Amino acid sequence: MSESLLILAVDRNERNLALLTDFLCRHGYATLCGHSLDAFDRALHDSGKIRMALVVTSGFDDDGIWSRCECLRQNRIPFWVVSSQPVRRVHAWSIRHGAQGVLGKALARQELLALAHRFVVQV
Amino acid sequence: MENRFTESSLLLGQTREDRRGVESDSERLSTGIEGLDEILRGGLIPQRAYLVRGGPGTGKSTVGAHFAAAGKTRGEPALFITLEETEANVRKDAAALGIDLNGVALLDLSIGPEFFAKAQAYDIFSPAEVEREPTTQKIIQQIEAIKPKRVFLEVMTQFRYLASDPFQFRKQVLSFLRFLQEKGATVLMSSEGSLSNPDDDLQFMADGIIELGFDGGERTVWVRKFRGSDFRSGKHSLRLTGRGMEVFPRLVPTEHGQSFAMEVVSSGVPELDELLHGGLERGTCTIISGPTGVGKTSLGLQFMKEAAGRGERSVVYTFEEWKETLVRRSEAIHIPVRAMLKRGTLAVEQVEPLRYSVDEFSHRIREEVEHHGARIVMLDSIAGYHLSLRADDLVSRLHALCKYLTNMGVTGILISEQERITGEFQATETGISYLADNILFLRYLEWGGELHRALGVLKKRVSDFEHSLREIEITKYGIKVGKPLIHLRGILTGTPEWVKEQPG
Repeated sequence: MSESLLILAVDRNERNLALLTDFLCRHGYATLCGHSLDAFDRALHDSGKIRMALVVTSGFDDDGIWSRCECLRQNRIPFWVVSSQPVRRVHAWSIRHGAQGVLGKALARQELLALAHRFVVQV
Repeated sequence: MENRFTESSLLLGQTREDRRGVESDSERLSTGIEGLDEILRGGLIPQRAYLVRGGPGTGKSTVGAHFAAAGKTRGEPALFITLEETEANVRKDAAALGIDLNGVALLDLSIGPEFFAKAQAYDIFSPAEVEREPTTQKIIQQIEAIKPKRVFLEVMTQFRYLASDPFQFRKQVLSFLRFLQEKGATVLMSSEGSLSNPDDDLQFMADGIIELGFDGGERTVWVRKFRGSDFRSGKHSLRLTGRGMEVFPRLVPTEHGQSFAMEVVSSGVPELDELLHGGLERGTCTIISGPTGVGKTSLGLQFMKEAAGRGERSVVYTFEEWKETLVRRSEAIHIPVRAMLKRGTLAVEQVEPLRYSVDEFSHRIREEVEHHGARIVMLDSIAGYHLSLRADDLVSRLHALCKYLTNMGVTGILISEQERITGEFQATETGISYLADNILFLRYLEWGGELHRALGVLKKRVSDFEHSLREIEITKYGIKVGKPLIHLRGILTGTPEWVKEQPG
């Protein structure tokens, strides 16, 4: 069931992306990665295959990243903001731009899998 | 007097305590450092885990390198795991200390330059989640491939970052150590524990703790815990040299002894022997006390000259005087020091200030006594010993040294310099009279407008002695001791008076 799920992962840090992709792939989830706003745009162009997104906002300019988050919302793609800042600080801003919630770094692997699994069931 | 010991001579590094230790030496695993093995009563107990702790630069890696290299020389496969230094640096640093790690497997888990250059930093997952598995896999692969009997892990505290919390860390370490031990390995792990980065959990988990220190210019090693075995307590000196780490266990006199005949050591000067009722006994300690220039060292050397005639070896440790000066002035009074040195019946070591610690110096004496057979040892002087070796606890250290010499049947001579040329008599200046079996004192005396020297015995524990003083002269023909000065009174004041008749 999880094989059909395409997760979009956006992060300026390529090492983060590689670790995230590797982990999700090992658990049967296909991923699409973007480490720039251009890559994010290309992914959105192909948004029909994306079922879920994880967006690390740090490193991007605010207007650019939040406008793409708005696009995710418009395309009805559920997404989570991943932040190293205290969740309370970024929570309201993230929700305002359509995020399902905020995940704090470092991500707990089991929690991430549970989230993906729950999301698949929901879809 | 009966001999105190009936056992045959013990070699350096073999103590009577070792022989009655919990396990025999054959069951122990050498650390590769002789002195440390001695402190550990023969070495580590196999298939246990030990922690070597200490601040930066204290020598933890050196202990690990010795431990691994010792395995290679004994045909035991050894694995050195490094989490900080690169393999090249580990091998280079060991080689610089004379430790050959060729043949020792080295697993380099240190961070490479690509972490910085290729932006390998990450924060999406915790290091514990990302690094633990590949790190563990690499270690397991090496263990399975090499089947090491010895594993040194540098630095164990780094593993803390591979655990999500202290409980997980404890579980992982215990499990890891059990894995290694079940594979037949003895584990030594280093720790950088400090107040801000405590390693109490590792200390509890380890079967033994070797603590290294570097404080006030002196390096020390201290065993704080050793499950299943006794060990020598207290801090012991160590030195890092071109031959690696050398550890000098604190001298414990009760652990040394050999049988010896309680015979008298003659001075070779009949009048002096008369004064001493034969001479100085073997296995006794003698303080020769007196003001500067009165002939204390010459008197001590006189006993050595006579011993050399019997083919016995003596050693002089000179703390203040240049060796060459001592040689020249001894030759000038008919003590053939050059010939004695050449024949090996005498060794003179000029001890440079602050060069040795007390433990290291004691070790040198032990080498002389136990390896070179020295029968007379002279320290010139007690004040020099105190200053040069930074011997804070002078009395207890000298006490231990004297007891050791006594147990080994060696005649010890300690030179004690008195500041006052004349005046009120004082046996020694440092309150150590009670340590000595014998006290000989030299005095300047003034009579007839001339300065004379007198020699007397204040104490002799083993036999009686002559209670009068005798005049002593140091001439180019040697030491001359006169008849008893029975017609003088007030000798100890320095300005005696004749009570009956004038000499001659």
